[in-house]
Amino acid sequence: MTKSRKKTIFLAAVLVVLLAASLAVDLALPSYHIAVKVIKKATVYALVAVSMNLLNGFTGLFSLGQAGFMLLGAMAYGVLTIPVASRAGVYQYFDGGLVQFSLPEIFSGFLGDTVGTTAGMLLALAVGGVLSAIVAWLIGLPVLRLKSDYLAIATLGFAEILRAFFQWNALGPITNGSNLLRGYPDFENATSYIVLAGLLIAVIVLMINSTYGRAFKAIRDDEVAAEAMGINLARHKRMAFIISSFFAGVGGGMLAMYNGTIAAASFKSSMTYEILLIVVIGGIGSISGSVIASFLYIFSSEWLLRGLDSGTFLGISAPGIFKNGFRMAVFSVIIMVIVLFFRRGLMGDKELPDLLNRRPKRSRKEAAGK
Amino acid sequence: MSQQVLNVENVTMQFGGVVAVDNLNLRIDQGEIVALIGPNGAGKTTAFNVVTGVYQPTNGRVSFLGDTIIRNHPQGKMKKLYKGEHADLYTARPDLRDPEALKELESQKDPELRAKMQAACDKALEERKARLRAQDPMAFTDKVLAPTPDRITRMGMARTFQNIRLWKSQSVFDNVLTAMHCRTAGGLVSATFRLNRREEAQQRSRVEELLKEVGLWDQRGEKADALPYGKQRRLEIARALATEPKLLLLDEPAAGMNPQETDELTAFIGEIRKKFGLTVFLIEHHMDLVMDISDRIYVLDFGKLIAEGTPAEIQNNQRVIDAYLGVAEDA
Amino acid sequence: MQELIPYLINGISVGGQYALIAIGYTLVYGILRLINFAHGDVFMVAGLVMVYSTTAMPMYLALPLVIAATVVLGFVIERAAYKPLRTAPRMSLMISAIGVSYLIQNLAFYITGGVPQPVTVPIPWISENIMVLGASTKRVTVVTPVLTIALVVILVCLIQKTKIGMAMRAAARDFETAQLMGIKINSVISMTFVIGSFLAAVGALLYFTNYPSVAITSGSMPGLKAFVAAVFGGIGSIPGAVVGAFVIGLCEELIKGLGYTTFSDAFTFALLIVVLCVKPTGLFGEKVTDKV
Repeated sequence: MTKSRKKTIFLAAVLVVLLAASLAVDLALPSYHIAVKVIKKATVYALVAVSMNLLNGFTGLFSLGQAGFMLLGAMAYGVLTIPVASRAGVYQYFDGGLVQFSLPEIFSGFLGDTVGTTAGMLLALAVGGVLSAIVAWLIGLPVLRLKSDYLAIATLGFAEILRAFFQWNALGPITNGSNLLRGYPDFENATSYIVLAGLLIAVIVLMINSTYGRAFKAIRDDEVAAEAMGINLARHKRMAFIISSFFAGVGGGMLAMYNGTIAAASFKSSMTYEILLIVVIGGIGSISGSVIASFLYIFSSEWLLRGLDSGTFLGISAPGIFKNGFRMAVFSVIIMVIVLFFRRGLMGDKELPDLLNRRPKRSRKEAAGK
Repeated sequence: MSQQVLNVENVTMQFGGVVAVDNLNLRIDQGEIVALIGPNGAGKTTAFNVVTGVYQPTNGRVSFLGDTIIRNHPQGKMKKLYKGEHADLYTARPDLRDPEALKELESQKDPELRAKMQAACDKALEERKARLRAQDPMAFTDKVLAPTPDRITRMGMARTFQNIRLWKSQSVFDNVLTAMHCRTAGGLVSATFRLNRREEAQQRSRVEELLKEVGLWDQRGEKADALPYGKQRRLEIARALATEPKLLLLDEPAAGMNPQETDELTAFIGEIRKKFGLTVFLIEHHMDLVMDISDRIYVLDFGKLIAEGTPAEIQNNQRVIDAYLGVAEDA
Repeated sequence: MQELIPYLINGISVGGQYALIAIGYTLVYGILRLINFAHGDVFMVAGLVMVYSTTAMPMYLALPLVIAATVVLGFVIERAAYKPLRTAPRMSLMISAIGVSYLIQNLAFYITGGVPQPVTVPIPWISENIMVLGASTKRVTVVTPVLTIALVVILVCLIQKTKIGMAMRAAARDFETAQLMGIKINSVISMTFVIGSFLAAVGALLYFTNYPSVAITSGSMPGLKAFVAAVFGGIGSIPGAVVGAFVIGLCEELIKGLGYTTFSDAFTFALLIVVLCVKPTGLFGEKVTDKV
């Protein structure tokens, strides 16, 4: 099969170019430069969007709990990595908090500074993911039996409950209540983000293309037929939910890294909506679509369209119109246009390498005619 | 005597107050092709749905390859509502079988005599229950045996649907490949990291084999819903075969086909039976097809079995003719 | 007990306001099977319009304007964002609703500059302080439940007695058949949104009288809670939504009264999940069976 070979080569080439680009950015620009920030944030959003797509796009479970699972991951990361020395300052209202260790410090004790810190940070991210997965398993027991919109509202509710839970002062010694968590380590360069998120997304892609991914798609396309063909619905739905939550948890940890502070209050349902809309822009059921959409979205909202908020855009200076909030207003109009008129999004359910195939225009027309 | 593949005993399916299948008994032996026919709304698809686990029957037992896989009797709310066969044994109502005895019992004023009569009634009831219990020792337990459809499929029963239910957005090849998922030994981790490459390769070559068998190999890359109707039906059969069934249930496989396609399908079913050593149970309206390939035929009407036998017997059965053509009120 | 009384009174009042929003959800869900995520934001917009109009013009012009503007908004949302997706899968409709909610919030952010808009000219009479059962409160607290019940009674009459009400019931029962029977489905749906928005506007007038300011996110929480109330009472059922709203309003205020303010929102969702798992059709909902 030379065609699939061609696709693999194409995909590899795209990845190499991406990696080279981020390395170049890292070498040429200081870490506080907007380009580095955009890459970091977009990578994190790409991971989270892909994890949401796995559930909403590939398994057909309309879940809106993403922000909750991200919060879990972020909290776990913060709690486990804040250096012991700065804990007294961070947990000032809770006598320095209950947790008196920091994974990066423990590991740098016997692995050396660089390797140890990285290992500790990665482990903390993984813990966040596992925690999310466990919570997803618990939540999934009652919730996954619900159908479409009821599932959406129940998962949304769970995310809100989690948010309230983490703001509860009684848990303050661990979570710092409604105060910020800060002072934890971050990866300086964009390449680390790209490599880490890239590897995780690669795992998701591998899984989607495995026999389990096919089973998920079968459930999405026709539940009754899937069950009649021997696919255990409860088991596979739970599996998809747990996997998606794991990656959302890791993504949440990475978002915390990028932001530099963690406030439970900021993991609102509007964050889930934002990610959902990214998934829709990219195309429900397309991994590369989600990734591209994340980069486009973050790039334009953080950088390209910044002028819309600060008075001057494309050389036009109109502070009366281009004031704070205009960027997001324009953005949401664009999103609505996509939602209403380009329902398939950028990629539909195709992946990037599929673009190598000649477009079967005729069959598309036929499908539209039906 | 050849081995029994499917045995349906006293199966009643009641939805609320409506009895869709009433005390169905049928048996399918190894290698047979058995058809279930009947006018529209006779309860054929409901019977299929009971056998494949979509519905939990109100009463009765289904065994597959000698093991009981589905069992239930009226309980809970159904105890009051149940209107099927043996209602007197399961319901909370008093003995209804003998209204005169009941009347006599109720009119009896003398408590001693009344108790005696009651005891006699109870004894008769117990005797009838004992007979059922002799057939099935678990007939009156509250333990319901109702596996989900996916478990039944993994036991070796696969079906197609009356209104085609393919996975529309996926290719012909993937439709068949996905159906093999239930036979995959590899776990999530080994499948994700391609540690089960050999199993996957085997599955792919089996898909090739199957698709060539059903004549869809050339369309393997097309989306399932782009296929013409007749081919979609074939694909559904191929998909069902991919789950490695011993018993294949076909729900109106020839629906919407023209005579030529029907003939091809008839030949095709015969072929796959031979090739895969299958037993086939089918619902069909095309009488040509049914009479052509069936070894035996069961006829349902208003949920009740009204006839069974070889095609020749069924063709000449007056009750079947009446059911299909209707009987004039004044005849 | 004495210290809980103000919370109880407040609970009934908040419940009434939730009920007015919840009816909008339940009506729309009944016909379109859509969780109208934008409904809470429509409610918020009503609040904003109230703030702006009451400062700019006399009360007798401002209040009708609030109601008219909200009704128009609801109507426009339906025509622009939901009507084109009539034949699309339900997921697309829900995404569109989320998109509309996102759009309204961002537009409101742009207009307000992200600053909560203070309610400078409160509506007279209902914002005066009175004493009820020994607790000081605004008059709106007492007016709300009465007004809510009155509006619900009128609505129920409308749905039971008038022709458009009959059309709405038919559409809720079977969308396609209703269409085949010659019911102008689009005008029925528009009517549903108009009624829902009208009640949300009234709810907003009452709700924001009790609050010092209107922020762009002011609508999302009451909106979600009202939706929970609708589910709790059995989605599609108007009395159910009202009962559910009062229950939720009361519980929430009582939890606040007991000192667990952080969990007053979480409780609502916990209740939702329990209801969905135990009795998915809610208190008064009709049973729907899936056909294979």
